[in-house]
Amino acid sequence: MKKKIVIPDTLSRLLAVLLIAALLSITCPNFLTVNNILNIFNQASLNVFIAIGMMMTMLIGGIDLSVGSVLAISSVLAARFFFQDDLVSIILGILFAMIIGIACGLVNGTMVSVFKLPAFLVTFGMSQICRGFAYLYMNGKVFNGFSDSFKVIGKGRLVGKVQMPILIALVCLVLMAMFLKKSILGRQIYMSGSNPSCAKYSGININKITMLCYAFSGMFAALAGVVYVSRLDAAEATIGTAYANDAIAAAAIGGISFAGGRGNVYGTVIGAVLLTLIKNGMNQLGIATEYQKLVTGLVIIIAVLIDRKSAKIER
Amino acid sequence: MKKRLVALLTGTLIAVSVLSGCGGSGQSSSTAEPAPAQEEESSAPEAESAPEAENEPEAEAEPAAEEKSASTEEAVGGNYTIAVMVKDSSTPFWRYLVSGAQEAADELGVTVVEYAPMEAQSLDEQTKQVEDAIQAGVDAICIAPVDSDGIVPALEKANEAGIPVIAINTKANGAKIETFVGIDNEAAAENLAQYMVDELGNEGKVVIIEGNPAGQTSVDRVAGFTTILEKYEGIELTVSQPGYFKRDEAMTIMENLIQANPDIDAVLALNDEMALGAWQALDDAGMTDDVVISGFDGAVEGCNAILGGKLKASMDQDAIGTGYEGVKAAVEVLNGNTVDEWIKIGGTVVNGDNAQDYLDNFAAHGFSE
Repeated sequence: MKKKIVIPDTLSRLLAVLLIAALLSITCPNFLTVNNILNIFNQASLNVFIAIGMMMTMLIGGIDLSVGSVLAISSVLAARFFFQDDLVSIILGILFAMIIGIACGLVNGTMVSVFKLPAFLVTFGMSQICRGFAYLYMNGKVFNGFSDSFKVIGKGRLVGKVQMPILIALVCLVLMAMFLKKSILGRQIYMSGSNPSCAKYSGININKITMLCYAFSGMFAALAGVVYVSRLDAAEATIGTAYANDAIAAAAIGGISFAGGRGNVYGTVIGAVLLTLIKNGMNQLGIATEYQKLVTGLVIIIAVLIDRKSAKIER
Repeated sequence: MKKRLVALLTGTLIAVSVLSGCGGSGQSSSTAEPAPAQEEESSAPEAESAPEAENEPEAEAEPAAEEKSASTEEAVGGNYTIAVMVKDSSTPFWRYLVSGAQEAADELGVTVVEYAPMEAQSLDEQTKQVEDAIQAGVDAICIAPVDSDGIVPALEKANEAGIPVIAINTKANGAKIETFVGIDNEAAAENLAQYMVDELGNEGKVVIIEGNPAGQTSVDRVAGFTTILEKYEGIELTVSQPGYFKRDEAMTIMENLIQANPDIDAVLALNDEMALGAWQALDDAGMTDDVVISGFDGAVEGCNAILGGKLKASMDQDAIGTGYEGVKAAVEVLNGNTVDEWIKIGGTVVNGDNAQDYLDNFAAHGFSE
């Protein structure tokens, strides 16, 4: 019997990222500086939040196209809290935003699980509704000039030079990784995704699991919105239009299977970082945005191809 | 029973997103393309009777239907219906423009119907909106094309339907345009670049954050900037990257550029939003004292930023005036009079000296933040 050395998915992805980073460091003078690396992680953290949420829905074989719009509506509705300087108001604001995100997620989840509507259509419709609401509510206005305390979320550096969004993303990463690996609900999520009928017959409430996953997605979108608004010091109805695409790309590169049941948090994070890496390198090289899109698309396809091959090897 | 319910709801969702796509309520959305064969089976009456349909989108669809019927009642005795099409539904600049257009409409006794793509800078949506406007039977179209070349086929259809077309703020490179109401982008950009070069003492490293390379506006402004910048040996144009007029894009680009070029002296952004995004990035890096930033538009936020010291300068585009003159010109054409080929607007550098005046003007029109 032939023994094939199977490189774990995550490790191979990590190697790919390091390889591309090395390549870019040769062509870009200031690429491997501490500042730039922190810069890349800081920018990637937004995508990490949303991609983790997207991963949750993909693990059960669904998808969430509404993340960008949920990000927008939750942050513009909660924006009023963020002008205050006291901790209580800010925490209330963050909770308020997350509740809106969870609520949108629950609507999505209910439509998909109880009413058995296709996830693609439901979340697409939700993205239009949320976006429309955001436009109506803002009517061309932009909120800016948030309080200094609030801006700490997006711009503070509490541990040396490391920016807050990176720290928040790390916390989310660790918590979600533990949740998926160790908790019962986590295992149930994987089961529901990889083999729904088996899961159902072993007593797992698929509807509850589905609603939970979409709620997570909405919550992470709202969290991303809070960090984003804090970084930009501006809340407007137009934000986040391409975020669903970026998150799907990150998840795809990270090895999350669209069919459900496969993938982990680390892969997702690597995917998000890789995308940001490419964009950063191309910006610094002065390469036009059109080429950036080309490269990103190619990377996604290659990642999915490699994924297919490694899945075959594992069997 | 369950299958019928599913079909009903899916049909509602599709019908609602399709319905909200037509009509001139200004909240256009891109059509639900991924709906396969189900689209043929859904029908409007079924959509109305579905009890569980979300109420909000239906409410949005109804005003659209109402406005549609209002505009098809043919204009008699000068009550024209004029479509004003802007590039997105949210940027303050376009809000000012539409308000200016509405002012002219109120004065002249005509009706203005606003069209704006949900997805900013979307050529697809704008093309559809032109076609919708033609279907709705508007009397004239005032449009700020997202893509000066790409919009031409749609505008040619308007020509064929006998609807006069007026380009506002951004030129269209083709079709029959009655007049262009807007700033001389290239000359204005040159003015602004000259001002900034003077501020720099004729030397330094400059970065340009472009808009949407497909729009003539962006091309002209960048050309204007480059013309002036190239004149000076001490000035180095380090990088020019498109930010698509979006604040967050500009911030990301600036963050990345700072890594490669920590000794930038000036940033010329093609609108105020992007200028402020760039400012955020520079502020994070603690570089705001070393870099001067200019925007474009002279909007309320921009003027406040100039007074607050964040931006050095901006360029007055007189958004309110553009909308106003656009509608006025449309009415002139409809009344059978000729108009100038180019109605020039704005073009003054906005800086610390005159920013307050512009703010007062905005406040007088009801805009203040």
